[in-house]
Amino acid sequence: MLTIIRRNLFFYLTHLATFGLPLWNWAFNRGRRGLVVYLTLMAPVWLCSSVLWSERSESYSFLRMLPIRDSDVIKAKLRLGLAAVFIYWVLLSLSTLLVWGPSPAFFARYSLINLVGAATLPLVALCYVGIWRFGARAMTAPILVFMVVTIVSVMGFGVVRWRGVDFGYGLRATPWLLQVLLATAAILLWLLLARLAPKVKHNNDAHLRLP
Amino acid sequence: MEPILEAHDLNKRYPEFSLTNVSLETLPGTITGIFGPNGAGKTTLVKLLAGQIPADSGTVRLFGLDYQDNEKEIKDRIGYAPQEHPYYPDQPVAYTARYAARFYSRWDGGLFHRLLERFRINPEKKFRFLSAGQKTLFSLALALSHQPDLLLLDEPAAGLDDAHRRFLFDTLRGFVANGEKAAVVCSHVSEGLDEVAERVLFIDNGAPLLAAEKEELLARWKWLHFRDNALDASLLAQLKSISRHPFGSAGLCDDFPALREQLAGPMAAGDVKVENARLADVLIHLSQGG
Amino acid sequence: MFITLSPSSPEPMYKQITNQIRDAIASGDLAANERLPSVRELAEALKASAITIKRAYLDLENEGCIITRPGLGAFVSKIDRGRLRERKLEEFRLELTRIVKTGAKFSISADDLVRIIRGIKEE
Repeated sequence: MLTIIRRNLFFYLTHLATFGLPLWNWAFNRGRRGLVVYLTLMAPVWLCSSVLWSERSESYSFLRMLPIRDSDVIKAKLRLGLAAVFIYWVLLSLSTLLVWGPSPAFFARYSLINLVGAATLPLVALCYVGIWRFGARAMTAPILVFMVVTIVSVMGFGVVRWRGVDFGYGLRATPWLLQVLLATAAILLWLLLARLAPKVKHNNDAHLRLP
Repeated sequence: MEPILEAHDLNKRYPEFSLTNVSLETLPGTITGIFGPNGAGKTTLVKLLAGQIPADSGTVRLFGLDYQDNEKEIKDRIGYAPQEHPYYPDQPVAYTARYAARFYSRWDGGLFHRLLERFRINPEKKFRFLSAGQKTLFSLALALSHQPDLLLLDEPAAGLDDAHRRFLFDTLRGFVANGEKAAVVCSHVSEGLDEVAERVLFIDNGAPLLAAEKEELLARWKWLHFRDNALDASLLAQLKSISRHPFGSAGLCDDFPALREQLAGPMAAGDVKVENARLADVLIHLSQGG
Repeated sequence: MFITLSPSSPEPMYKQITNQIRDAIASGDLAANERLPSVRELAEALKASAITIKRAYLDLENEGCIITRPGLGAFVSKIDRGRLRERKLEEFRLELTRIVKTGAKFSISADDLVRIIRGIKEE
């Protein structure tokens, strides 16, 4: 299983580098404090991109030849996705803590990070399941569209914010209980997708088609 | 002796094609050749046998195990070389081999590198830059290097020059020589592989047309060249693919031993000559409607 | 006339053709002055190349069995039965030598062989 994870790690790590370096740079050099919101909202884009590019270079027909259970392949990739989401969440939380200190402002932004994290976890699993259903080639367009739409929305969000309207505040002040519930829901959703994945992968051979 | 591979009534349906009721048994120490025209279903059959796709119905058992419960163990013990190479195209072949090696329990890296040397393949070359023949040879090297008990090769001679074809056939013979291993090979060209195979399975349009021991088959199928009118009507009726030319006729008979007595007279008189049929002759005849 | 080519025979194809034509002449299948098939006809019928047929005809002509007349084709020349018989006897002698020598390994004597031949004759 480790072997499979190792091969996919390359794309995750390069994405993490391009995400993490500016993040730490911002955290230590105390750049514009509001930047964390943008970075948080960009995390799903980076993660979906990691999934997409690592899957485009994968060869499932080759893996199927090898003495390895399909369920192990699925577990390896989904757990890698889970770990990645977790790492992004940790990095964002730590950087925000470093910048804002344990203040109410921190907690507001921390809620946002939690919410986005909760949303991203099933999203990453969905990317994988989608790829196992339709193949990486077919999923490229939808994922790219999602990425572009998110980036544009975040830019739009920035423009609106700059103009003085901050409608994200409500989001950022979500009560604790709700956050915990949403996180739990995210994990449950991830588990559900993990359970569906083997059937989807077994019954569809689009992902086996060669690059 | 227990068969290494047993397949019963395999069926697989695709939108434009279906494989129907194919059964196959492979005993240790034998080589089975699966022949048929392009698109006949050979690749589908081999994929079913190698556990690459699930059958709609029917069973496959290898080493007494089935894919449902023992997928890993079976795949560890079979050397499968597919026709469409699924290896990472942008990685050096050594990388792909190292990757595969981690999953096999009996990987022999020394053997793999010796084979690559023999095939004159540079291990650091990216897979997609190999020639067609080299790709086939790499497939073979990968299949052999984890010391399998059963080889399942799909079009193993594709793109190979004469020397490597000969090497392939010698390797196959050597592989089954100790009587414990077996090989199943499929090709749309029977020449060459028909020399190595002990059992022959012929598939056309997804259906099995012929399953026989090769030697027995070639003892029964013979070409008869005869002077016009040298054979009486009843004998003539038993010949197939009859062709006439100005200086004689020829026909394919499917049961020479049974006709031998009747032919003794005309043969002694020089009016009938018997020629060995090649497997291709039999297969061509069968694929044209029998 | 009845001619076939055997791809598995160690005899080259042109030789198989000359042998069979000679046999046909000797057995009466081909009569004197009878016209032989053209090179193209025979090549098509036997699925051999024209060069092979030409070579066979050339050899036969050099032996005197056939005559080629430009524009008209190849014809069986006057049959010299004596010479054909001689030639066939020589072929048989070589084959019989082989049989006798092989028989010797199994303690089969020439007399045993003669007895067999007599037996065949009586059938």
